[in-house]
Amino acid sequence: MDGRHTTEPTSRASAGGSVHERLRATRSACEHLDRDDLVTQLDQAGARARTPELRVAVVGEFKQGKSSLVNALVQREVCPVEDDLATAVPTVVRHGTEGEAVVTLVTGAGEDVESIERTLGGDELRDHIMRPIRDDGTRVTGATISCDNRLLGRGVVLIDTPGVGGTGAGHTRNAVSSLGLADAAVFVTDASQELTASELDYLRQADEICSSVWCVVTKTDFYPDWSTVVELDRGHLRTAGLDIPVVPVSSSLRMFAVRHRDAEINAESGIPELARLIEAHLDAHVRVAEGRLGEQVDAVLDQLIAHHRAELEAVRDPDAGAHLVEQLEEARDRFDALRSGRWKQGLADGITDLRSEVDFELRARIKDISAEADASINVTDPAEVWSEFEAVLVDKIAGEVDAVYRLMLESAGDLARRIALDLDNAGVEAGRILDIDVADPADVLARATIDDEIDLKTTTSIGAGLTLLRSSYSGVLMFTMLGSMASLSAVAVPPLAIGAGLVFGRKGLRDESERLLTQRRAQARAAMKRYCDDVGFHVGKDTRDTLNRLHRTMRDTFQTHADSAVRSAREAHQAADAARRQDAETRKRRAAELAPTVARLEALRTS
Amino acid sequence: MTTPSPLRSEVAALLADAEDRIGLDGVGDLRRALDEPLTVAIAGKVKAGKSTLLNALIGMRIAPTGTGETTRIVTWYRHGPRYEIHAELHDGSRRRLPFERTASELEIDLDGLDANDIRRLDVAWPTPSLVDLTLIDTPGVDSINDDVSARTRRFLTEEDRTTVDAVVYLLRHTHETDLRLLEAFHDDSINRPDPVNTIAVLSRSDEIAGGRLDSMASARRISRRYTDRGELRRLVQAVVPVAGLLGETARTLTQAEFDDLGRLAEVPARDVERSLLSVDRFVAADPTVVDAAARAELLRRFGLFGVKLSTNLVRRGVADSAEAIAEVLADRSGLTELRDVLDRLLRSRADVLKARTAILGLERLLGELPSGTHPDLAERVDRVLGNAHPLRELAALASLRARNDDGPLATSIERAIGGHGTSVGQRLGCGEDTSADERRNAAWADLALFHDQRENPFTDASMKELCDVAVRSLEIVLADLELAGA
Ligand SMILES: Nc1nc2c(ncn2[C@@H]2O[C@H](COP(=O)(O)OP(=O)(O)OP(=O)(O)O)[C@@H](O)[C@H]2O)c(=O)[nH]1
Ligand SMILES: Nc1nc2c(ncn2[C@@H]2O[C@H](COP(=O)(O)OP(=O)(O)OP(=O)(O)O)[C@@H](O)[C@H]2O)c(=O)[nH]1
Ligand SMILES: [Mg+2]
Ligand SMILES: [Mg+2]
Repeated sequence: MDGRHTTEPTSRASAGGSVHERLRATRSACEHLDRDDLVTQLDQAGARARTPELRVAVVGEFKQGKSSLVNALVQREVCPVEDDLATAVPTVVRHGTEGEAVVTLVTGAGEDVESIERTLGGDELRDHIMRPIRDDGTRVTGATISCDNRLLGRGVVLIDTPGVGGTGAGHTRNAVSSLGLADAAVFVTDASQELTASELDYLRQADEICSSVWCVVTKTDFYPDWSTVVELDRGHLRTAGLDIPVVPVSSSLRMFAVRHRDAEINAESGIPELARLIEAHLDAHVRVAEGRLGEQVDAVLDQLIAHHRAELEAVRDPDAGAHLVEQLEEARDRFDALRSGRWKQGLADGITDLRSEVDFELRARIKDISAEADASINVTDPAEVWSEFEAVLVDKIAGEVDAVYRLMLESAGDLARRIALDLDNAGVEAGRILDIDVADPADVLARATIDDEIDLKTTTSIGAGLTLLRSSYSGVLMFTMLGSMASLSAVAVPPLAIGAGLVFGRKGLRDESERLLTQRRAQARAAMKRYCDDVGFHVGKDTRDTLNRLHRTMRDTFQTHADSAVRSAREAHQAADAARRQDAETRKRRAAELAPTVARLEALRTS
Repeated sequence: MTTPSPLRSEVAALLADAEDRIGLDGVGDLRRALDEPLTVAIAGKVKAGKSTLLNALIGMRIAPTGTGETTRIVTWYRHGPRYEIHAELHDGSRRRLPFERTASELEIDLDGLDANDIRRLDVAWPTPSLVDLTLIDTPGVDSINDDVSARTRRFLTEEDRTTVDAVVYLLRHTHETDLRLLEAFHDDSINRPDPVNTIAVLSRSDEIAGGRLDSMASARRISRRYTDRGELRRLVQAVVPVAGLLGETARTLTQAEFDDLGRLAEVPARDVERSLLSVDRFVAADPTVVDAAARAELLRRFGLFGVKLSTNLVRRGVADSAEAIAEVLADRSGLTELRDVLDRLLRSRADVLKARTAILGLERLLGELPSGTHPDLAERVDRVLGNAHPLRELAALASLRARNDDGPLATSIERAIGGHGTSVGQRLGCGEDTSADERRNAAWADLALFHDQRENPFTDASMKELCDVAVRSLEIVLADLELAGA
């Protein structure tokens, strides 16, 4: 831990260097100084920044050419395209071993839902994606297909989705349920006509949820008037106040170009332009991730600099050093107190409160919907309105569940900030002496990305909600519970004698039909209740699990940061204390070693 | 099909009485409508291809069509002695409008009127195809423009329900909005979905496979799926795939267009294939064969699929004249089949459908009066609805559709009560060339089957009633056969 390598000409690595170079240099400094705790921190931060996935959902009404577009982007037939059958489950296309594919299935019903994975390929895979309800009683909830493609290799993950507004299983009207998984959205509409009112509605929602939305007009090879449609669409988006670029493409031209290696036709297809836009967005995404990594490198550097600067001051001026050592001692003790401090209890209590709050909200919201649904069953005939009713119910529940998750994340963020503030108050004095970043733990916390997905830095509730959605209510919940409900669809609405009034003379039939109506309503009510209970159960369980995970990650993150701070404080104290007792000659030599080390570390730090 | 049926006369008499007694405007309207030709509305979402299909059915490019939203006002096309166009305003007044006829459409000058003030446009045109069929073009639903959507919904679900006898509903692959609209449309005074007067068209069906030559085969497969099961089944009588644009062009094809196709057919197949990869490539291809403007016009008229198909037909010698290719295209586009379905399922029962519209309209008017105002009229309405056999057949058809039952019994009943067409042959499932004896035997066999099923304790109550209706239908068939034999 002396400054042997301080003799190397060092500081060039910094100023102009990339964040990854800074990371490497800082890491080796930490190694030299035997700060394995900081090395671990840096490694974790580095790993997070290296895989900046950009999830792009390909969405739109059905049969607009979504699956074909995904295929065109990755230049091969990965997603099934069929004239009649439709994509029925979200299909994730990501970088990996060419041709590897896994489908997720759920078995069982009610509280015994279980999720399994199966490796498939070829026609079987196609069939699973288009017919999610299997003969063996399982239900496909999603598929993941890997392929080795440059765009995907850069971190783009494409998600082909079931069309919005179709009538099959898995089709929803809710943008939230198909976009909860995505960072960006490609909205697909074909060139046969201008945007419709429902499409524009969807775009409006997508624009709120996603950081980036592109409107892709497909099939330009087929419609003579495609450019008119593109202009009309641009006009509609402008009028709606949406700043969404419109990109005309032809997937079939692109596939022809790929097959015949024809660069001219490739350019005509418009797909390269779309790929360019997606990559530009990915670059921006990477820059954000690197910015965050840079801040973490700086935080580590701050600790090292503070430590060495304290020692340097002590060797330069032992008299002033005596005072400094006293202060450092005090700082060390304060930090020590932090490690075992009350904050842990505070965090645990906070999580408990949060758990009951979330539980209560969930229950109350589902109860309200259930009551509303009940009232509507009482005044309608389920035989006539069932499919409509089912869609509305599922949509409403999806909305409320989404709200509960958002609420949970917001409150968790508040809790984290509160704990950080406690830490702050305890550590502020110590921090001031040491000039260590811990003086502002809220900031440290903000930089700490807690587990892979949940990122507390997100300030707006919407962004925050989505990151959580992504890692949290996954597969089973997202598309089984919210997409289309096994327990709902299973309800057999008894056939309705349509026009029976005419055939049989209206009056005689009235009593019988009243009785049947009552029976239908009872069935519908039971199905609705069962569905609400199922959702309550699964979401309740998922939120509890999520909170437990949040608790663990928050605790560990705070703990490691507190530990590092304590260690920095302790070592600074020891070094300064030792320096004071050395003779003038040794001190001089040590000062000569330390000065460049500090300079080097300071140079590594951005401003 | 020609002599007014007893049902129609009975309804006419009932309306006449009602008009004298109640004296409401509405009753007069119903009476006048009863004497009009069968009135069919063409409905669907924006850009479903409604106006194009209407032109194909009339056989003339009259209704304006286009890429952007085009039809904004409900427009009636009816037969008239003179070319004349009127606007009917919401306040009931009528205004004659100036217009101009171009090669591709009718340009109507609204003469300063606001579209929102116009209830409908009324186009009278002396063309033979409108003689026994009045067609109504409607604005699309799900328009970005709320006013336009609202106008169609209002039209289809409320005000003009009393004068529209049947609906051809266009959809491009099922879509939720379509189902909801169809349901709303059926939400009449019986308050039940009622497929008896609705035919669905899977429109623009050449687009279904993105222009591959087997597009129409895919379209047919999809229509069959819709017809056989699924939610559409209980809402419509039949689902027919139609490429309206191709149909329209087939019926209005010019010699110049045929000549262009001929020149294209001579280009070596390889070059053609590359030029047909995209519309832009086609327009930009060799101008010495056909120039760019004519190529663009061909695309507008045929679509990319149509150009591919027609040049292919000409090249293979399947069609060697404008007339020949027009016929093949009408067939391939599904237009011929649609016209046949319309004949079989709607036109052949024009009388019944018109009577039904009138009687339901009267029922609604009576329902709006304080209850018990005219108990005897209400009772007569009930009696007509309950007893008139053709109406019972319609109701039974609806009820059959709702059962979603494709077992042999249901299928036989459907046929016997006119679900596949109302001629004797169609009811018995016999070809046109079967002898009178064979027909008689077929009728007796069916009759025996329905009798047995009616008495069978395991037959459910509503099926028993359906057997009842079918028995009566066959009795009428047998009487007709006796009459013909005598
Ligand atoms: N001509 C042409 N046809 C296309 C193009 N893209 C898609 N299609 C056709 O459009 C139809 C639907 O394409 P898909 O890619 O399956 O569309 P989708 O949106 O994934 O459809 P669903 O999953 O069923 O909702 C298919 O018949 C395709 O061949 C295109 O660029 N040009
Ligand atoms: N490829 C193809 N295009 C069609 C077909 N039918 C209509 N079109 C085109 O689709 C566009 C819309 O057709 P219209 O007949 O105006 O549609 P519409 O339903 O009346 O539209 P609105 O009145 O605006 O609701 C036009 O550009 C037609 O050329 C068809 O069968 N195939
Ligand atoms: Mg798809
Ligand atoms: Mg139109």
